[in-house]
Amino acid sequence: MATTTVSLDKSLPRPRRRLPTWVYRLRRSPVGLIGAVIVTVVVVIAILAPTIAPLDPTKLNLGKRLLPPIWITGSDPTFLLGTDQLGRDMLSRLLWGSRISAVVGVAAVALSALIGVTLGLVSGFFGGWVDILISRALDSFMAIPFIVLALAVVSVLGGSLVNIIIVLGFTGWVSFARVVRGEVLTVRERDYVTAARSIGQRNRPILVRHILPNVIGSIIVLATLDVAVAIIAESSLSYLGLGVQPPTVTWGLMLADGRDHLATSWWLSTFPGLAISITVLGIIFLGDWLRDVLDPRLKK
Amino acid sequence: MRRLWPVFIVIALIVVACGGQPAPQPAAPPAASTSAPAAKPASPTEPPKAAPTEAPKAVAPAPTTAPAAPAPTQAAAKTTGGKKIVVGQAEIPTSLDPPTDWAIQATWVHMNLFDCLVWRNRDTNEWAPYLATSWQNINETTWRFKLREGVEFHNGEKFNADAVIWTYQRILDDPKMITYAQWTFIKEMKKISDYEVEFVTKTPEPAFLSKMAGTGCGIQAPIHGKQVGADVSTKPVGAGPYKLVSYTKGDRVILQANEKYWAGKPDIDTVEIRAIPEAATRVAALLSGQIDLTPAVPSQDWKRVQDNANLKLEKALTTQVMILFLRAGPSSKYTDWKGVTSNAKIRQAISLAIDRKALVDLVDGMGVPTTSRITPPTLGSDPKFYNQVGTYDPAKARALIKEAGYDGTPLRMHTANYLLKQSEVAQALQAMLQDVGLKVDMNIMDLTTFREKIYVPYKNEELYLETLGNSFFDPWIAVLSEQSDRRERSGWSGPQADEADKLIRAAAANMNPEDRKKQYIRIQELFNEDPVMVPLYQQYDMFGISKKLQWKPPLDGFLWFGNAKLTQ
Amino acid sequence: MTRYIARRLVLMVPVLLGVTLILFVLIRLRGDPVAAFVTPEMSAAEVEAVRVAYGFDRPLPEQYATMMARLLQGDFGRSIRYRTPAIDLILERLPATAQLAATALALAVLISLPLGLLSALYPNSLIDLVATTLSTLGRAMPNYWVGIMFILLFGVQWRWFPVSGRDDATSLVMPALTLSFGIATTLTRLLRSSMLEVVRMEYMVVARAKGLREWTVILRHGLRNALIPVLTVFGLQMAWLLGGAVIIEQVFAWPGMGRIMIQAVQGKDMAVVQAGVFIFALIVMFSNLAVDVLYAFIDPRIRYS
Repeated sequence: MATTTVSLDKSLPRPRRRLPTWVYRLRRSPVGLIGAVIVTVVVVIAILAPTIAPLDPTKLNLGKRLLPPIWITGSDPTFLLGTDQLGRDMLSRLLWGSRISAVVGVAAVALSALIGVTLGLVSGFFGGWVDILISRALDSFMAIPFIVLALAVVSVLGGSLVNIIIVLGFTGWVSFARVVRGEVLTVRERDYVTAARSIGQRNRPILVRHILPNVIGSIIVLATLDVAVAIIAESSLSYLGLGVQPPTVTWGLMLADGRDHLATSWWLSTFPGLAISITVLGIIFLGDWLRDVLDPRLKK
Repeated sequence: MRRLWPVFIVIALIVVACGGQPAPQPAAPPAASTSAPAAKPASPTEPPKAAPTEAPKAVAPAPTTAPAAPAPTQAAAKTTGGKKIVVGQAEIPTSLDPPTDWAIQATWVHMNLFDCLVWRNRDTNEWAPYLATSWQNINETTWRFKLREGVEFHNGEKFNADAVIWTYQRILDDPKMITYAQWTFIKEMKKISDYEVEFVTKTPEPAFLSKMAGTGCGIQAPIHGKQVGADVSTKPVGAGPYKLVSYTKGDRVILQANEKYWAGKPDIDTVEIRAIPEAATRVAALLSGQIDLTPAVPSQDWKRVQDNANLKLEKALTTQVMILFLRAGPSSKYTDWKGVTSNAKIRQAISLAIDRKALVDLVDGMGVPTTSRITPPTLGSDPKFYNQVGTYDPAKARALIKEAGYDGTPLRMHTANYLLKQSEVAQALQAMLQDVGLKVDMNIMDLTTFREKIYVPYKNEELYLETLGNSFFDPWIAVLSEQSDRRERSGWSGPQADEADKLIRAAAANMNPEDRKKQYIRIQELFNEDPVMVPLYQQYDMFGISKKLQWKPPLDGFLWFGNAKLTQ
Repeated sequence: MTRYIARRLVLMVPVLLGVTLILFVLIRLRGDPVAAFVTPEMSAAEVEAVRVAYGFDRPLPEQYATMMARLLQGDFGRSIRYRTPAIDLILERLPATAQLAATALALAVLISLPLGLLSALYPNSLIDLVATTLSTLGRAMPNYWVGIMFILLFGVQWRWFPVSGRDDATSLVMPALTLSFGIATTLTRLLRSSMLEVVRMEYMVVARAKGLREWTVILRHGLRNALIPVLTVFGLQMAWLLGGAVIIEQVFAWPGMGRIMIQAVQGKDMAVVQAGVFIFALIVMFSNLAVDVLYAFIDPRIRYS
């Protein structure tokens, strides 16, 4: 594998030899670059939120409710992006909100990926009745609209941060299982797998050492795009009043809470809405680019 | 390309097929066309008047402004079935059978379909004849009603003593009825004659008339009721000012004026009540002229409604009081409860730490601060408690907390998040308590989770926030939770608790109003001396109303259209 | 063709079984299923009576069998809230949801077909830019958000369409448009990329060489072939479309299955939740079948045996 890469790269003009290939590729794709930058910024904000947030995101200032952002008259310079209906600082809430939103997105997808990849690997590799069983389960889950299933599960578990992650995780695994199973079916018959099997390797090492690395590209792409889906789904659940409950801050909850103020205090929902849209855009750009790089077959 | 056409044809067919039967349209029933002209001459002098006695008088103030000049052909499309209004509510009833749904928004609809025996004048809190023309309290436990003669139900059945007895016996016979417990005060009912009926209560009942006008009091047509059984929830027949045209569950109820209404046919021919769950959508529908009336206009939208030339805002008090409940000790449903609020000093401190003025500001002035759940015009309401911000003394609260030896154990607080601003108020309370040094762990839940985990199993911890109404306008229900055998949520005990218990029991059966009033005032004092509930403010409701509609929200904010008028 | 459809119908059975199994597990996830029917005032004996009445005291497989037997008779239990059979509540609302979804689908096709086509034919043009921007935005904005903006703009500001309810055709416009937005953007994107590939194909060159008019070539040869991959995704999109409808119905007070489902979820009316999930699954499966059958009309190479 390694040799082919090198020979390929030699045929292309390369300005800086020492940079890893993916950096080079990223530089050639402005869209991918934008995506990567957005995602990096969001992750950095999420990590640094406690340090960079100017104020306490849960501190109420009942005398300073619904102040506009500083570029509008009637604002207060303490609150750069204005305040919400309880006089809390919008900027600090946005910064902290990135945290929980990111946690929800990443944790939910990690859970879906874990379930989906495991079932997909098992199903594709072993075949037989295991495959039939898992495939039928896949079809069943696919028949139920995602948000409907999520609603049904929330109705059982109730809405809280952990439950939302579980719900999104348990409803989102299908795409992983489907893709991984398909990949495994093609990889399974390759020479190196047959070779590994013929020298007496057991199933688990074959799966982990030979098959998983081949499907990891698709998994990364899917996971990236699914984070975007999870962030939007979290906000939709919040909109229906079934999401994370305050005082926990997520962008989705801020957007949902501010929706009744849209006509009057637009900043309440517009900022978190923009935050979601920009982040999701970044993730999509990054995901699309990753797909081009890692897994051209997924293109359709 | 030709092969593509089936795709479009199939889609088009589905669209057409589904569109062919839109929601039940209020197609003008035969009677409506003749009634419209007839209604016109009658309207100028039409405050609901009844034959012998003065009927529901001053139910809502009679239209003060003269009917505006008819707007030229405006909204002509809307008037096909006579005068019509559309009301937007967050929810509509789940059942049109009054004893099976007692949510406020259901009661509003029920009131228009069914009349009760007595009417409570919502402005003076006095009793007025309704389907009963007079009554007599023969002895402490016996009441005799004289019934209005010549009244017909919507289906033509005669209203008489049998109808009254059947209506209430049906509830008493079925403990599954949601209002069952509310009617068990009735021991028996006797038919004296076709138009005379006697009620015997189990104990002396000072709140008797209140209860007779309470939730689910609507008299139903007995022959029809027996015929349809449980289906009465979708096919209600009463004797109220409006009759049912159609009912689509969870979507809309369409009512039509009862031409034979004993107090005169209502001015508005059709009332359509729609469920629009989203506040933003509801306001948008009002602003765009799609609906004529909606309660609960959020404060941020007041200006937009006011600035609209076709709309006006009307503020109305509700009976709902927002209350912070405290737990003082374990109770039979939660025997192993332990918490810092078992210390009376901490409870005192909590009540001193609350700044009611700030809370009323937070809800944009949509509240009257109060230190009691009993609000005017209910008996026992007193200026000592009502419209009072109470004592706000954070310094004293801090001192008390210190005295109590508070060790920083957090107080657990629960609240549902369903009322306008409930979650905001809860978060503000949390901030106020933390300000005096109490640590509060807050848990804001959706309504069902709150009901299931906290409210219904009586598993409330130190604090919970809830709003309670009193549609009976009698103080008995406002203090009932602290009767010694009902303290599941408070676990209250001590000298104040014992005295309160005696008074609560005595007042509930005290037929002397003056004396009874004194008892309730003392109970309220006891509640404030050793607090297990901290009333915060009585809530207002804000209605957005089309200027064409002459209707003022009554004191309790109920949507009754018997005397509403519409200028075209 | 008939045999193909028959075979597909048979294949639906295990999938539906799976759906019921998911529902069965779901109800039991919240712990003791009897809890939903118990009020705090009930005594232990009364609770036991309820347990026996609902069959919750039986072994799990038996309970599942009973549930299946009931479902086969169309019995999903009664709604606690409305005290009527849950399945009736859902089916009453089916036409409204079907109308909304079908209109949104039709709109999505009407929007994405020209947009996708033109942006592929004139890459990097203004229309391509518009199409790409819109389709990217559509993926990044929660649909209820789009709906609220539409209400403010088209309903309150310009008063073009009613903002809520289901009365006449005009009240359908905004919910359908909002719902179609998400689907249209996906379809545009797919159609564009698929068309870009098709344009380079030999048969297009051949068709042109035959002297056919440019638009005939594009529509008859290009579009039809480009539609095949799009249609595959179309089937998958049905589940998304219905999921979106649930939220859109809440925004616009559209009296469909989604609204009653949301009410049921908020009120823990499990019978209605069950019936709703089941019917949604049925719709998704049947529309997938319909899409597969439509393949045959569009792609003459595909013949089902």
